[in-house]
Amino acid sequence: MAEKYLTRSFDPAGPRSFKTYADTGGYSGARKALAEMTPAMVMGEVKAAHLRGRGGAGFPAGLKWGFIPQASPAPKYLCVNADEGEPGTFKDRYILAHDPHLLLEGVVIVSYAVGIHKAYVYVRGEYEELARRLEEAISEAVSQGALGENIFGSGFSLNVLVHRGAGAYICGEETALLESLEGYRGQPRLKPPFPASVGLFGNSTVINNVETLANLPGIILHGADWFLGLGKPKDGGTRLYSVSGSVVKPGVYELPTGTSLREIIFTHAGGLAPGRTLKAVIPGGLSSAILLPGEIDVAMDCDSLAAAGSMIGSAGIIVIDDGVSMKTVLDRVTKFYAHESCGQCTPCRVGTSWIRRIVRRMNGGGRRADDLDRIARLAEAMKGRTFCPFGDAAALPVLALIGKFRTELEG
Amino acid sequence: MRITIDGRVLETSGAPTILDAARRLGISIPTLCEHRRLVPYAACRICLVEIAGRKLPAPACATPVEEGMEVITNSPKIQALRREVLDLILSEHPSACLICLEKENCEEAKSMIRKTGEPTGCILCPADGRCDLQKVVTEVGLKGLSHPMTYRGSGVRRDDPFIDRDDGLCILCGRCVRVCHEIRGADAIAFVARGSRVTVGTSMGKRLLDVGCLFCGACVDVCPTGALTERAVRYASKFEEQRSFICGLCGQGCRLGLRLRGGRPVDVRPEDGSPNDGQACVKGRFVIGDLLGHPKRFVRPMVRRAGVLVETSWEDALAAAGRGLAEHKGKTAVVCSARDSCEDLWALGRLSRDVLHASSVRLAEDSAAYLLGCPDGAEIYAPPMTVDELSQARIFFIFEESLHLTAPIFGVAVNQALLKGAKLVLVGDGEYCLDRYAAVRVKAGPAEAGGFLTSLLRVLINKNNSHDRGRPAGFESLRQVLRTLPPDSPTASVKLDRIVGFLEKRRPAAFIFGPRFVAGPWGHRNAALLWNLAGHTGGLYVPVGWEANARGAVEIMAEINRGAFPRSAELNKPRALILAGPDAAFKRAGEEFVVALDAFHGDAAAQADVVLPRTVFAEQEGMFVNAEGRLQFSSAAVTPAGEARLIRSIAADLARALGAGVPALETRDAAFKDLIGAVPSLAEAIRIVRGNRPALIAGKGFAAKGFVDIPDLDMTFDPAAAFPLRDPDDYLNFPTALEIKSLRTARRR
Ligand SMILES: Cc1cc2nc3c(=O)[nH]c(=O)nc-3n(C[C@H](O)[C@H](O)[C@H](O)COP(=O)(O)O)c2cc1C
Ligand code: SF4
Ligand code: SF4
Ligand code: FES
Repeated sequence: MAEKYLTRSFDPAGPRSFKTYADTGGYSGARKALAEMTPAMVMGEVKAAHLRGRGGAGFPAGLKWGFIPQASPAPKYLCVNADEGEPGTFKDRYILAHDPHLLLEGVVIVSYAVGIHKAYVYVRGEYEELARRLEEAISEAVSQGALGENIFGSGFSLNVLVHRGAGAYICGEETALLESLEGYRGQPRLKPPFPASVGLFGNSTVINNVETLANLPGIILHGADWFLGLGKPKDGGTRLYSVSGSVVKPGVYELPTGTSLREIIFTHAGGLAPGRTLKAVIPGGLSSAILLPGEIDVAMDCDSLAAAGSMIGSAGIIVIDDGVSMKTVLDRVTKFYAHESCGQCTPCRVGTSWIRRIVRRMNGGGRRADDLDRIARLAEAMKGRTFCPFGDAAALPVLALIGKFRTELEG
Repeated sequence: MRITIDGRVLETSGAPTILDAARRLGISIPTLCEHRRLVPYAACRICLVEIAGRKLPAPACATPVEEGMEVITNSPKIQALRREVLDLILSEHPSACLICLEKENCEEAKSMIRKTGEPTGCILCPADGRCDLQKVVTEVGLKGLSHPMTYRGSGVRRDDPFIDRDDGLCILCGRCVRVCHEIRGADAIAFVARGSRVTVGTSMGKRLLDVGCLFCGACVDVCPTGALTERAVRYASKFEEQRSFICGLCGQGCRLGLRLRGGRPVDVRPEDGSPNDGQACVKGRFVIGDLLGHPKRFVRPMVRRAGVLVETSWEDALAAAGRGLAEHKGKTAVVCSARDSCEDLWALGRLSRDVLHASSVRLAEDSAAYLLGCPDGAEIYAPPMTVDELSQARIFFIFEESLHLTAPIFGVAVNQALLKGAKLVLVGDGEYCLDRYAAVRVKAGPAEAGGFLTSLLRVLINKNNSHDRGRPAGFESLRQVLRTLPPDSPTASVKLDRIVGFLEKRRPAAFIFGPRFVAGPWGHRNAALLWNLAGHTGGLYVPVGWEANARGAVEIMAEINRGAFPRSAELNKPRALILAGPDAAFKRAGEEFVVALDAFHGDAAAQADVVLPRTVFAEQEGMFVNAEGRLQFSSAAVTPAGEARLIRSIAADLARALGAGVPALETRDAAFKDLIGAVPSLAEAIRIVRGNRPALIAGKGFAAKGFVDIPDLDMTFDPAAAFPLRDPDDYLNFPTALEIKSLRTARRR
């Protein structure tokens, strides 16, 4: 059994308190960083660990922090992306529900490394209960000296605030998240400038996913080599794979990066229900291109999946069996993106809505011969031309579905 | 920096985006969401171009140029891409007008009236012929559509004054939303909903009236389609020519363009360039057309016969006026208006001084003199200042002004600075548009604010952080005076601490105040305190004259009166009166003869013996000095209503009727020469204008003047009681503007 780190001592009974977390070695990563390391050393360690973002884009976290101008006297901010909107993904909530202090420890470490004194956790609107628990954990940590003024007597101070989203997928996109946090309509911002230079309230801002930050205590405590040893050379550590769909044991599985998709589905998630055969797998959340049964030996890491024409995204694995019609899948996919497009830019707003309308007509029985071609043309017209990556996220799964299941969709 | 666009090389330092660079090379890239004054938005995606070495096309409007960049704007790939984007845009917009097969024959085919309820395009669209989308369709060369047109079909919203909104024509370019936020700071409109259901809307779908809309019309002006239109001209929007003039409805001196068709006004659009650079306000934008052709205009002279005013000829009226005035030479009072041009005021002044030997000549808006310096007119010390400078300030003190109403362009400058992080200290006892932006709110009216200002000045002076100007004249005596004043209350000092804290980090400051703040017994003291504060902090001293020519008028009146502004008591003595200023509260009290030079029927004119119809701005040329101190020439954009004449000509006419023609007033050139010969500050400014630089009429400025003494309250003189100040909200003294129904509704928000 591979080594677990993130979930090693999760208590199924509920969130761990500060005490239980600390008793099992919790906050020793943060203590170590604050007491024994300079911010530069912390940043160096994370860079060496080549920790890649778990939110979707897979960008190396250390590299991202390096873009923050260090010399400026202006305040810097951290935004923790706990919006978890990607369909098929439910791993951040797993951390929030079971081990909020793991996230908070990560927050302390990144803030110390970058010189941040105020962090916001942007929690998905539906996670009302989790946001409450997180707030409890924060006040607990403050009372124990793990947050707030003069953390662990190191002189370093950090305030963490929880902000609840209002239920838009696009607010998981980092710049839309900033807009939403500032009180504006959640709609992406123009890049450049990137949040590292002009972010929250116009100041330098680090944005990271919950799981990304949850990896930091381990990296600090055990070192970059340990971390890389867990996974792949350029993509270390373990990941939380959310497995859903037609498997016997759906759930969140912590496994090394690069575990094969087949192993995750069949060994860990118990395979498909008896009598069912595998038809397709969406490997990295709804935005990733669908894979055929013949393609599932792929290793679940950023580069391998990219090579397979898909992406690891948020590692939300959706397993589809032969009882599911691809028409339904297409329907679900297009409905989601048409509903969630922020409507700012033309190709995405109009493209998703036309695709949606055509699919609805097709599935309603009014199919025309060139419908799939039209959809594909619309998707092509979105790909790479939209304001933010949402357009790609909406186009790629549709194109993959049409490419791989054309006959069924036409039938 | 060197970049290549379509094979052509541009050496540039100042082109921030690819679009700017292309425009400089004369290369056209279609755009829709881009607007000169707005932050790049990059949402419509029609301007996508290829950049060598980059995988994805980039929006030209928002992509900064980089050294060595190679851009391709017209490859077949880009052209196809544009057609696809446009195809998508048009699937949300009525497209008959854009790609109709009969487009070429449209003019001939027009006789066939098509029965369309809502404007689904074509000749019924209010923007037909001046629509940016039409232009882009032509430029991109789209010939057909691949999707059926889906009209949002939500109907035209007409429940607001002035502005019609038709979501069905909106392409969601966001220009309106951005101008409302970035430039005007009203934030009345925003995008609502998501995805294909997005529309431009208001909070909870309320009317614009209920969401803080200023009705400045900025959104209408930037809308590329017919989605936002001015109701009054909805179906008459095509114009033949546009003539420029200076708005006379407040002190900002906006350059506006009057659009005409067959010589008649269609609508008004703000023009680019200083001072207003494409912005206006509800008055300039929506009211002027109605004002010019208002049914209450005087179009012929009138004389009182048997107690009734009846129309007559100019000869007759002038003769009557001459007879009446001749009887009261030396006992006539003349009331002018700071709204009128320098030439007009000068002519009236000469008539009064040299022909009538008037007992007094004064401005109806007496507070203008207070604003600009000493009320005795002896010395005008407010230095000039530009809107640009104002927008650079980092902290604002605004006293008693609803800037959006009284000085909309200053309001725009303040808003832009606030968006960039400047702080606002708002002083006043009313409610103001800017309340929600105030970092510190001091509830004190003009009568009480003196205490606050004194305390602030004392704290600053004691801190001795005088703005690097050495010790200007008057410093020591001011410090002595401040020492003798009583200490502050503890509650006041909390706010003072914050303000002082701001002032330490943020410079320059701007002190903005209007007539209200310097009228009344406390007025002179308030002005002196502000002067000292602005001087001490190196900030801007910004008196907001409400009238179109407040600054010029004060200069000219000072010259005419040579330092002797009469006081209110004398006004009761005159036997005859020439009323050339708007005195809404005028009650005839013992005057035996009253001549009104007026443009509109109203209470004042109704009491006159002779009414001489005068032109209004936009019908006349003239020099105006706006609140910045900027000297501007306005030309006549339309012919005068009926038989109305310029004040300047009427003054000359009257002089002749009195048998004492003033040669210097007889021709335009002579009058002009006479004026600038007499008022040196104007002469100097005109010299600069001729040199093609903007001319600002200079007051003395702090460096020359130094600190001024803080005068005691002048309880004997109360200009507010003598000449009641108008509500700033009453759209500034064009009484008839109030009768324009929609404006009245707009005021009630
Ligand atoms: C449409 C869209 C939705 C996204 N939703 C999420 C989300 O729900 N949670 C998340 O962590 N990242 C999301 N992302 C990715 C973020 O933009 C960003 O890359 C991420 O938060 C960075 O954190 P990381 O580097 O730690 O992964 C989304 C991106 C896009 C384009
Ligand atoms: S791609 Fe979609 S989600 Fe992104 S800005 Fe455009 S409309 Fe909004
Ligand atoms: S109303 Fe006009 S300016 Fe506003 S988004 Fe629509 S088309 Fe653009
Ligand atoms: S003009 Fe550049 S994207 Fe709209």
